[in-house]
Amino acid sequence: MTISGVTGSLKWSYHEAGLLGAWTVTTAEGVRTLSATLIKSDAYRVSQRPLVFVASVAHAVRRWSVSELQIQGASLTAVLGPMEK
Amino acid sequence: MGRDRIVEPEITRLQISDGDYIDVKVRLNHGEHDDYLARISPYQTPGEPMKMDRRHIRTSMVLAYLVGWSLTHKDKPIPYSPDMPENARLDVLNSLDRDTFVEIFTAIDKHDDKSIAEAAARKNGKGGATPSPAISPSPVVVTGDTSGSESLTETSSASSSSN
Repeated sequence: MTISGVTGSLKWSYHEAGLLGAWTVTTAEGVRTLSATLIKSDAYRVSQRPLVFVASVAHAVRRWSVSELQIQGASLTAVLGPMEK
Repeated sequence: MGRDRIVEPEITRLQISDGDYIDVKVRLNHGEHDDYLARISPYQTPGEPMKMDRRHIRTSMVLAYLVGWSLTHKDKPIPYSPDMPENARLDVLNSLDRDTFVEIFTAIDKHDDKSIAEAAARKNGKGGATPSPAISPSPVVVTGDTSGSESLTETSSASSSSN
């Protein structure tokens, strides 16, 4: 299953750790993977844990915990945990 | 070993009247405090007294600390979160009735005083209260002089990612 959007963010509690552009979440064999364009980030906050991926899906704000995170330039990939309530 | 100098983004809950509550930052970090000062006094000439914009003095403190609440309007939650642009949060605050705003500001102002006192105690090596324990099993009543008539109750929560 794949869902996508045009903007999202990485949060460290109430702080924005990163602003994301186009993103896609792909679920395959139970693993949920986020691929996104990183527009800007706070170097300190993005190094902190726990991080949460926040995005609007079908007019509702959704949040997923970030289990693993990799950033290479403007390319961000992450393994996500379950969607949070 | 030195003391920890990073402000963890922790949230604490303050009870206000009629069963409502507000969620606020336990402490402001340097950047948040600078933003707060810049809102109330954007420009300052060295050597001259600080001139403050009275429209922003109280609202800026609320903007700096507030991250959420239980307030409703017509039985629906009133949106307020750090995810909202600052202008949108300001519009919501400006739409509150005056008594509610004063109540929120008073609670946050007392919390700010407590936070400053705790920071001073930590700096002086006196320890101070733990900013925010992971779990607070029972509410702690905030004591001391109050400028309003509300009884404020403060509880703490772990670093939250739900706001």
